Amino acid sequence: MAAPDHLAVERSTDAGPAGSPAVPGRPGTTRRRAQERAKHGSLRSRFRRDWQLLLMTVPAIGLLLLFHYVPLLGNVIAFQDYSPYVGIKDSPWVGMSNFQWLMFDESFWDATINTLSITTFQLIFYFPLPILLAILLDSVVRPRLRLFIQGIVYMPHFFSWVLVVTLFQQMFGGAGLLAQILRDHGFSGVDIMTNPDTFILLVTAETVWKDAGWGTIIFLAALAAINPHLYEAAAVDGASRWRRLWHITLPGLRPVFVLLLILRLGDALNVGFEQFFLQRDAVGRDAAEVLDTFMYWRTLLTGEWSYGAAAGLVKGVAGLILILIANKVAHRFGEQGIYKRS
Amino acid sequence: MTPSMTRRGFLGLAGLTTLAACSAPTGTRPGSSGATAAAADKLTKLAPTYIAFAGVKPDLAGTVSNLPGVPGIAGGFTTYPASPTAALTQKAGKGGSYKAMTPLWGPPPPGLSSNSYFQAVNADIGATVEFQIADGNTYADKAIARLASGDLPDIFALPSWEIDKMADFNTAVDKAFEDLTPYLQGDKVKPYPLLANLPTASWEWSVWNGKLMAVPYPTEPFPYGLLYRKDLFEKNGWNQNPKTADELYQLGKTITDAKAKRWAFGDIHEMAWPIFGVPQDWRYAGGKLVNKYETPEFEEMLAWMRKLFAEGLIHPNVASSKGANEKDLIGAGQITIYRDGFGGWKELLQQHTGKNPDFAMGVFPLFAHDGGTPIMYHNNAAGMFTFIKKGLPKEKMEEILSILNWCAAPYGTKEYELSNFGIKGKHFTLDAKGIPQTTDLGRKEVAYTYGFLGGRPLFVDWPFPEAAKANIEWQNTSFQYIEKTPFDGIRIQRPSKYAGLQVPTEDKFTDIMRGRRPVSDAKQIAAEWRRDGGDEAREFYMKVLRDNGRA
Repeated sequence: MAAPDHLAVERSTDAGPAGSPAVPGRPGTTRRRAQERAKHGSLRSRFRRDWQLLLMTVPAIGLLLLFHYVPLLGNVIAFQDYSPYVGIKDSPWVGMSNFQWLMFDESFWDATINTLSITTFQLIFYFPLPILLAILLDSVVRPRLRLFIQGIVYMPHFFSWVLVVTLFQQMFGGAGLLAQILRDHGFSGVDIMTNPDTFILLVTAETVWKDAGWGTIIFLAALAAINPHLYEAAAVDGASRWRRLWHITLPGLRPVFVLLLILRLGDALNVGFEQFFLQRDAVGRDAAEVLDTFMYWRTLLTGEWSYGAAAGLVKGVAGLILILIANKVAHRFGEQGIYKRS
Repeated sequence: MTPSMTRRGFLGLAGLTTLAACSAPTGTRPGSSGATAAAADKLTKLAPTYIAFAGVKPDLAGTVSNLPGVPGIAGGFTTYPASPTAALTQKAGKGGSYKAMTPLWGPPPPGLSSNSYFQAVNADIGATVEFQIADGNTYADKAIARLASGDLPDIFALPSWEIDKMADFNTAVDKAFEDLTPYLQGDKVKPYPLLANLPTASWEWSVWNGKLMAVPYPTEPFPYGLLYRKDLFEKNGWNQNPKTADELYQLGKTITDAKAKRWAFGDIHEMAWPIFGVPQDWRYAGGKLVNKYETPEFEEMLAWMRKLFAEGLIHPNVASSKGANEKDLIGAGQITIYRDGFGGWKELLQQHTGKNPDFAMGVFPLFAHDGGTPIMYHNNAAGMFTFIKKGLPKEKMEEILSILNWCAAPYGTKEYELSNFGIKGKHFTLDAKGIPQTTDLGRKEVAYTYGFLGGRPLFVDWPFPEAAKANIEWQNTSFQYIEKTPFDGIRIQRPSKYAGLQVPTEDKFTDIMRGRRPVSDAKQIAAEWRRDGGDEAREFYMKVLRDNGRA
């Protein structure tokens, strides 16, 4: 999913021309007609018509094959006792043994539970924030001021996790600014960075600080796509600010919201690697071990490649199942979802 | 968040009851490959013949080691030779071009094309060595990935402590690297006189699977000591000779003043092990092998470390971040005591004496937690190894070995000077006392790289006479306390499962030290260690003892 050109975020101040889609997200009539026509044409005639378009996709398909599909074949090592020095061809096959061990590995389940807890927590406390922020930003009328604020909230996204963690360390660590100010005023210092009980709050706070601003981009684009006539008409009919938000803005954002939610669910077992890797020693394995770090310790550091591959495969399959379920649910509620069988 | 939920409970919750119901797998888990052991005396015939190089003699005497497998102390220098002599008369290289991977603990220097130091050394060698420098703190990550990918540099430096963590190294070494036996065994070493000058014990440690696989980097006997800021200790009148664990703890309480941004300790727990008498690895008593993790001493050590963390005597940054830069914190006086190898001592002096002439470091004399006779751990005879990529033709092998021979030039030679300091007048100058001082360009360009390609007799050759003296004195005095282990002198390739067990097990013990688990969990962790491969390792090590007639 490509981030929209950020110029598109700027809603034009004068009224949009007629012909912009009445309800965003629904396929326009022209597109539907094209689809119908395509169904009737023969494969060859369709190819003759679209070959330039198909040609344009070749590089992307090539990259996809080379860097996604070909490496996928490497997953067979999950069913082997693989040693990179012996090679896939000569490594012995062990069937499901790696998976069996995985199912009985407490540290794998600890990591899974940690990952799911963090995902759930962030779904509630992080996911809605970019929407709120986008609506707030959208209500800033002066374009210069808005650009300025956007610049500030986008910036942390470009910082690496090492920087973000260091910054938090400098602010909230045991030798950090907060602890030092507290000590100067006669309180005992606090060390938020090494407390495993509040770790989930800490990582969420870091994520919010780093990425909430960046997350607004797609919602700002969706907001820009809402026909301003609707607001004018509602205002004329006497709808209050809240009513307009409830009946126009939020329904306008719904398709994007659902789309992102599905993608997030499919990604539920991915909470990122670096952020946890960097802070794992500070709060310990019990709080900070997530699936990605588990695989890292188990694969790269101890050379148990097959075991790590098995864990990765389980994670991937679970993610796929989640995406399929979420998409189905979205269809039930009459939304587009991320794909639809034509 | 505490994952109090049990695995089975979670499986039930997730609707995976069929999985939970399926039987626990039996047999060994995939991923354990062979381990071997050989008494050092049997390895001697593989080693090159020792031929001493006639060079400068140290003015600080060391200690000759007669403990099997324990390196001696080579001695030290307080002066720098006025006119170093050339060790080699012919060009080492034949114009070849090679890539070499080495670790570096510090900022990487500019690359070959924009680094006059690299260019000058390569010109002197007569071949192009291009370095691929990787961060020393995370070297294992990079090294393992490159080994597994098969994309190897021609020359590969690997520290032994990283090899210890690699589960599959015993297989990897044969697949990835060339056997050096046909080139160096016995008298074949003669074309490489500086390699012949390396101690035999260090060569014995370079044997894998019955073959001489690497050029060793000889070590000092001691892996580390408890270093402290001597200048601050003297200024504040703090106790420079704690004699028990409690005295060290009291000292920590005296020093720590969080309000003044001063904490007593950095990461010292590896020194707490010998202080509490924890065996270096195994203890053999009454016909049984006991692992360090299973000893009561280990539990005492955990409880003591836990107290230091709980009372905030350890710098918060050390507690909370991976690889916090302890040397910076020591330099800034935010930490006053930490554990480091003696190389760190020298580095700190080099970094700070320029800005702060009073800056001084010291090392605490060894002591035992209860005031009894202390023990100290020892290094194996080689600390790092230089491997050569498998499959290179004979001429290239010989050229690389000749380059490694150049790199092994000892203190007091021209080659050593060029490799360590760069060009005189450009990268370094001699000060009033005739000691090399690095210039700004030298600080930027000269990085320890060629030095890692194989070692040389390890003298304490610091440009700081006082510190060199203190170091050698400490080493000579401490030598008597070196713990004799059941396996001294036997070259053991650790069973891979045992190697892979180290990190996960020590993670759990770290939880105890940090107060995240009760001390009483130590027994359970040791039981898990036994279950996950510890007992298997014990059998292996017992067999090694029996095979060598020690049990």
